[in-house]
Amino acid sequence: MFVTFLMQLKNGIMLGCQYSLIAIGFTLFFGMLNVVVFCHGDFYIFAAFAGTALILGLTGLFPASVSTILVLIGLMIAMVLTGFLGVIVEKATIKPFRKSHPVMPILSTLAVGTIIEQLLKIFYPAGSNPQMFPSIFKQGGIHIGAFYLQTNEIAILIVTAVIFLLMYIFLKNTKIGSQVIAISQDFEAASMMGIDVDKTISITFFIGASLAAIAGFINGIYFTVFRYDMGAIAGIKGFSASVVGGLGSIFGAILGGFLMAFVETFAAAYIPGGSAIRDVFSFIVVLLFLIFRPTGILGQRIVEKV
Amino acid sequence: MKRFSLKLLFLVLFLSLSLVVVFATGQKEKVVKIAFIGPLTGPNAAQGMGARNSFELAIRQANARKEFPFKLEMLALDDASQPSVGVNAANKAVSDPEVVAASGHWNSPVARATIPIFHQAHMALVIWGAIGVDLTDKYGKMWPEITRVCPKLNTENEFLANWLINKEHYKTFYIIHDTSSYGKDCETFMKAAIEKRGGQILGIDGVNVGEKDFMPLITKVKEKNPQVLYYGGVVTEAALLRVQMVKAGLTNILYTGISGLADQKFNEVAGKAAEGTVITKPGNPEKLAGWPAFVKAYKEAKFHEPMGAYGQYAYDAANIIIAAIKKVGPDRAKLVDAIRHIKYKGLLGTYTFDNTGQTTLSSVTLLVSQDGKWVEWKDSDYAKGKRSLPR
Amino acid sequence: MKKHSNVLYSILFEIAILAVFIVFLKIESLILNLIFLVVVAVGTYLLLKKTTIMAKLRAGSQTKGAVLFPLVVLTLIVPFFFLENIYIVHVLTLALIFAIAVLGLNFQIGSAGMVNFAQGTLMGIGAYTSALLCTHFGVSFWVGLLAAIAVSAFFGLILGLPTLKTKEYHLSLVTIAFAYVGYLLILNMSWTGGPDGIAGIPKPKIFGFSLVNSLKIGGIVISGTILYYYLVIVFLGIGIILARRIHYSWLGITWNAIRDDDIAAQCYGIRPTPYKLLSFVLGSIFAGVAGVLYAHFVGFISTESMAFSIDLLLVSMVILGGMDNIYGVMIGAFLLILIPEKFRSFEDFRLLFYGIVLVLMLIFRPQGLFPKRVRIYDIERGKHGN
Repeated sequence: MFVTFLMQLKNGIMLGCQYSLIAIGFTLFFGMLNVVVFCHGDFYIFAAFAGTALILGLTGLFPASVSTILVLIGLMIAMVLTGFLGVIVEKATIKPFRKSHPVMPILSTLAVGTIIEQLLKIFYPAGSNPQMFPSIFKQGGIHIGAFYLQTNEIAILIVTAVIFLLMYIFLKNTKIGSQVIAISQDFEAASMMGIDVDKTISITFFIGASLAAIAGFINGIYFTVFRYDMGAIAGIKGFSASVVGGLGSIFGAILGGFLMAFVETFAAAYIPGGSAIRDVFSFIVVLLFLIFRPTGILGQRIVEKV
Repeated sequence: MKRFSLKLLFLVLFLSLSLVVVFATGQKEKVVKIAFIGPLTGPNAAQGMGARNSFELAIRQANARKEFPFKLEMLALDDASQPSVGVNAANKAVSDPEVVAASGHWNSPVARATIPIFHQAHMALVIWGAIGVDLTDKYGKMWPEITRVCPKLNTENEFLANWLINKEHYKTFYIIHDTSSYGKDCETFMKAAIEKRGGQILGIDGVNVGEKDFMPLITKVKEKNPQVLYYGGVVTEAALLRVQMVKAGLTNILYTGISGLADQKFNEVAGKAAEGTVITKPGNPEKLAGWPAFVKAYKEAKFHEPMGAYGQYAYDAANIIIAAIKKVGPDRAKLVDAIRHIKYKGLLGTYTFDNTGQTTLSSVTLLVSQDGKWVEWKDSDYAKGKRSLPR
Repeated sequence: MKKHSNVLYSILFEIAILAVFIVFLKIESLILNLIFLVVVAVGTYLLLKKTTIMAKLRAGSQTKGAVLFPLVVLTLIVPFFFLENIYIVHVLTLALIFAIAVLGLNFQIGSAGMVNFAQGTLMGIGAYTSALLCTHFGVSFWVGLLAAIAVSAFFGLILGLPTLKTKEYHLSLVTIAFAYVGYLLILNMSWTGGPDGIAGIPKPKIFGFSLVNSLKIGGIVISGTILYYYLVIVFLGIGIILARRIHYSWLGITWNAIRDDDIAAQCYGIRPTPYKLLSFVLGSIFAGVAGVLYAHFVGFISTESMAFSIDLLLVSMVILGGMDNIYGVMIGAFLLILIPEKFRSFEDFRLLFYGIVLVLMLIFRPQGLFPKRVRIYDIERGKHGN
């Protein structure tokens, strides 16, 4: 019983890693530009497709080479591609609306998200079918009594922890990191201080999209199978997680991601009939936060100046 | 005033030209259409296209035999496995005066949505692939328009449960099903079939179609430790569940299901993890006379897609309708009656329909996934003892 | 004399539009459709540039009833061009039903400036209410309709409450969460029929005559579909009148004030809360009515009809047509239902098409095809118009 509980906890953590990585992206974009980038989930699924295509392509081209290196190269390229996709989307559909009504970027990013996923469905070979992510880690894991930890799960934990650490260092200790924080505090003041706002925003989008890409790879490694329409719901959950955690706070995004993941996992595991309506529980959590604590767990109260 | 009349003249000219074009292109000769409705797009497109091709083959063959003074045409409509699209398709079929009968559906929910439409229009609907029990038990009983050539869902489940418990001596089961009506029906009937034969069900859980995170459930199943895991639902989730459960180390549990999994996509998506999965599919025509000719004709027709598990049923459905047309002519109302009371020798045997419109033929085949392909059990290495199922 | 010729001009123009419309619907071949669309688009663009024609049209439209009366007549005779292909009337009726829902959505998005992604869900709630009552309890369509109005208003209120405290993006997220929760709950509760939905929803009866049957008038068979078309037109007409009255009343102006500057409006003494809630309640009633009409028309309702893609579709219709413009959003509804229907064989490309249209509209013409027009208040005659 207890071991099962630990395993469910582990399942929750795995899911939480994915949601958090996506949520961090949302929070970064929102903190900087006050925009909600609804197509973020589609960056995540795009990366899964790109990663698969590249790994298969590379291993096909160089069959004799060491596959680990090819896999790493493939993932790197896919991550970079996704990063650039993020930058392009920002320039094309978010930048034009910087001074407009906030509803514009919401709608344009939603539309762009639809476009990305439909393009994948139509133009990727057999795009409407579920795709298999290439298996990177050997089948197997560690047994600690009845508790079983798969090799790929260990890898996911390590990678996610490293990413969190890197994000923290990036924001606190690097020049660009402080520029990002500056822009999110006051856009105009930052540009007056000589910060190249457009460039910093591009870098932020590149990073955010890359994080989504990593989440996409984790999804592929953990669940193995992915499909073009999984991006939208992942994006919405990631967004909800960042709202629950507090928009604008990276640590909040992580908290929110894990909270939503745990709610879903435990609902599926312990509530009879819960696995069919697991999403309802996490959305109800979101609604409760939105009604009673819209700033989230760690968000700051936003005072609107007139 | 001059400008006024010039613009107006131009407008009128343009419009009359368009109208001429439109009406000129509508020349038609005497054609009799039979509607085929099925999932031509969407997750079950493989089944739908295979059936569609077989249907078309039957019509082409009938035209080649020159049995009728008119040309037979298939009106292929897509239901995309979605009831609302199916309803659109059904409306299209019944509102076209050249359509005399229809054959439809692989997904039972779609059939449930369109059946009232065909009944109201007094047009025959021969079901070629949907196995929901109530389609005939309830609707076919009330309305003569509805007939079905493929077996019902419970036939397969009974067969499977019998094999698992009585022949292979498995005792403990866990059922996971999707929350569609197909999945729920599978759960209901498999549960009954297992318990009837003294099997023990350790747990039942439902998932939404589209779910991809099965880990919490897999952990649950691991704790309960059944011998057999039955999945009631369709291909994608079945394959996902299989992949994840193998990854999590549950390789000593037999994975099983019915015809929802009888799609090559299962093997493609699940990859190596598919090995050793046992399922059923309806029909067993390979034993009968017409089968080799059908296979040959299908190959020569060079269709893009394979005939799938239901091609045979669609082929027989088409031929039943054609035989009925031969008897009473292309008349919607007369066809309803003629089809219901027909006696027709098809690929799967001699068809007659009972008072609920269900075919009196029923046979089920057992399949096992071997080296990435579905192989008939009796031909497999497993049956011969060369490989063994998980215990 | 000039006045009469202008009116004549308007009438002829409307006939021309109707003819274009009918020809477009009749064309079967895909390529011809595309060519025709392009020609029409180019023609319209050139026409709009011709200020003399536009001036004449505008002058003609000043005469009371000059635009309206012929338009109504023309709309009523459309079905008779399609007697042999009832399916087109079927699609037109669906477009009209969505036009009703879009009118309601316009209250929130266009007038009050709140982006609501749950209009499809509210349509579904209305539809299910009536469907359940009619199939399980055998009540008539009209009772079902009244019940649906009450239930949708209630859920509109529930949807509106959390939005009071939230701003733009939070508000949209609340509506999205509401949409998903609603969808999932209805999908998983057994008494709503689950994923199979509810089939066999009866057609309405008007004075004992059921719309299942056709009407024979002097040799012409008017099928139930055409009769339903007229039924929806009646409802749409009522909806348009209501929407116009609201738009030109204190309510409409207050909504615009809240949309343009929430805080300035409060400085004027406007309490946003009741007005915001009212926009949700009224908009949801429109959605509920549309949902009921849809359910009884198709005879079948399931959660697919209230999936998130429908919510997105409705929002696109408002954006495309023109926010806060009653006629604009209806045209948006028509375009987004009819054009994809014509390209059915490109079913796979449908969502892609929606996405691209939406992005292009937002970048190049965010006000929509027919943006809101400035309010003109004629103090002398006490008239308020556009």
